[in-house]
Amino acid sequence: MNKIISVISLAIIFLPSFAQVSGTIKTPEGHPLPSVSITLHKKNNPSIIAFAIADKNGKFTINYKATTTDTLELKAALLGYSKQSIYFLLGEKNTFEFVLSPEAINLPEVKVKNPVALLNNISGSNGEV
Amino acid sequence: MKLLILVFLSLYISNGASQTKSPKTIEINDTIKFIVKYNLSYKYDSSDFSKVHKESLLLIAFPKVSLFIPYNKYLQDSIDQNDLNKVAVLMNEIDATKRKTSPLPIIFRNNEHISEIHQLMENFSINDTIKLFWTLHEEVKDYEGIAVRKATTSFKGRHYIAWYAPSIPIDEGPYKFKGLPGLILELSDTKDDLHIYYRGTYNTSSNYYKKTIIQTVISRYDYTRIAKRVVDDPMEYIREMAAAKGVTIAINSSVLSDNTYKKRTTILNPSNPIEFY
Repeated sequence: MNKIISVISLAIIFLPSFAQVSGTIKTPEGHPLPSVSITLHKKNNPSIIAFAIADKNGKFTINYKATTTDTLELKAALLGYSKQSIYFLLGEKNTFEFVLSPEAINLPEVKVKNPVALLNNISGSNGEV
Repeated sequence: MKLLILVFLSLYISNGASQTKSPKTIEINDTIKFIVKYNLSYKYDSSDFSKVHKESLLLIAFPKVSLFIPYNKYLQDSIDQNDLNKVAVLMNEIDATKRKTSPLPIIFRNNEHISEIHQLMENFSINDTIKLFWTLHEEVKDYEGIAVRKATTSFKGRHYIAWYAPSIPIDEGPYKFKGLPGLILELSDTKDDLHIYYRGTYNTSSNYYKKTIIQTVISRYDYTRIAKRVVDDPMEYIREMAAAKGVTIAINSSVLSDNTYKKRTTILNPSNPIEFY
């Protein structure tokens, strides 16, 4: 009986616990911003621990394994808007609000051989048929 | 010439296939946010994996919806909506000898709602709601100067590997694949039957796109039945549709031996489908 209790206790101790962060993304005018990528990282580490895409109401929820004591970075990014990061420690805070401002779309280009224009009025194009 | 006659007849009797179902319309009348060009490599014939269909495809993103469309279809649309000065340039690109029938349908996406539009005698649309479950991996590679990260998922009988770019923060991708924290630049199934890869982006700020797609919404089961009938005996299918409109057609069935048409129908209804169910 004692052995069973010990095994269960050990299992509980070593089972990874889960944490959750949630929040909303808005424009400076206060409108909800959907389709924003929300990624969770350790600070200064590009590896993504978990992610979510904001829904049509600009809301998101991320569940992740709470296994780090490092500072965490919650990054909100959407093409055509400025990126924003919020840093926090596990357990310190779990609800966040981002406000993203519009900015020019600047897509990286892949150079390909024999570029052809998609349309005359579309600039900066490249591609191949 | 035979193929041309067949195409004209198909157009003439179109809408007949839907019979009792009334066509629906998808209207796109919006500013283009961006256009991404992909190339496709697809082993469509399960009896001969050396046959590879290649073509270019475009992902056109609007503020609220997106369209994944064969490159040639976009160019054809462009002739309709742009001035005649552009026609000369475009005609080179849609030269009939270069034009290909696409095995991929047009994909119209509105969040998780997808309309899969097949152009088979007339437009047939299969509506679906898709939520993909992605697993993110630690692997990172360089895709022509852009850092991409690996993610995997399963979809309708195939396992897929996607490489997405967190530096391009948009949850879009080719075909029906999306939902990652960055644009999908490369996607392939684990057998490499299907391989789609990014070839470039177009700076499209302030370009307007107008398109109306008239289609008959049917179930996947009904579409599969129609596609099989068209592939098995296209002339019989056309005759039936014409008869439903009170038109009698008499064409020599030797049109069926037209190799171009046979290849076209094989690609339209591939024996190695992208989706198994």
